[in-house]
Amino acid sequence: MKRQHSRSVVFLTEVLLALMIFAMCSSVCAGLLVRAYRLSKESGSLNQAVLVAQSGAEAFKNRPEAQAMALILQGVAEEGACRVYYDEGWQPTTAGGAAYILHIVPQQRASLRFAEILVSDSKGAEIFKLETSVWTGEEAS
Amino acid sequence: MKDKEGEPIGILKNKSRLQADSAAVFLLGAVFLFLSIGLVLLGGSVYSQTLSAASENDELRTTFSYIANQIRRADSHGAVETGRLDAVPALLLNQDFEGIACVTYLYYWEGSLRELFVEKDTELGPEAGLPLIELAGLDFQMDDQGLLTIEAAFDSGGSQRMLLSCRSQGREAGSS
Repeated sequence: MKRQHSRSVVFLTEVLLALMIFAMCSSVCAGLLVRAYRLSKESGSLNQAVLVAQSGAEAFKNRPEAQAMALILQGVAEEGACRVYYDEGWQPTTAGGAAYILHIVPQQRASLRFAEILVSDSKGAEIFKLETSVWTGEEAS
Repeated sequence: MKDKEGEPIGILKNKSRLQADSAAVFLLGAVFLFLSIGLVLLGGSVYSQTLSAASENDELRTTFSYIANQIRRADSHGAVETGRLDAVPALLLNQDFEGIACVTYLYYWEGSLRELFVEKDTELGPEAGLPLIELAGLDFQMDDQGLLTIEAAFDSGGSQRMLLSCRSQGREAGSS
């Protein structure tokens, strides 16, 4: 009887050990799956940010004034810059419901009009950034 | 010593210990089973979501990238204009090959972005175009300063807009 009892204890200990090893391995797997999901979301955001920044650059090239850009992009002109707010689905929205922000800051240097275009999330973390310029033929005033 | 039913007390204790051991084994097995199933379900869900997101990204990027490249390739004075192919709204890219006027139509027809490259004034309908990318809708708008707005709707349910500034300042079909 003592032998049978000790066998059961050993068997249970083995099963418990196997379960612990499985739990460790599955927690590693779960961590990887969560990371994969997060990377997939980041990739989607970057994709959209590039598209939005590209559109911003094209709007700037066509009409390099903040007010005109704001009208085309459905944003707002603030302190000489253009800001466009986007919701989770990357559709233009108001500042209150914004998940992403496109910020275009035009600058004049001699006959060239530069713009720094930044796409960030609602917390201000940069997602994508690009610079563009257009020759206007006007000297800086 | 025996109990009231005549069973030796030692054997009873042994039986209850065996039952406890079996219950513990089954419990551990059940925990292992539920953890395994949970992990497999989680993995499957993440995989399908990742695949779906990758497909959407690919659709979006390919569509706009293709249209933008076609426009940039043809971008010269008066070459880019919005118009119609029969009654279907289309983007017209005019080109001249050794004196022969040709036009590339980009339009949406029956569930896909299509391209039709023909000699100007050829009488062909939208069904003659080559289907390129599956879409749910496509629209082109051009203003008087050559800013083209391309709006595409995708099978996944979303829609996106891209702006393109024609360097040569495109025009609406029929305008001077």
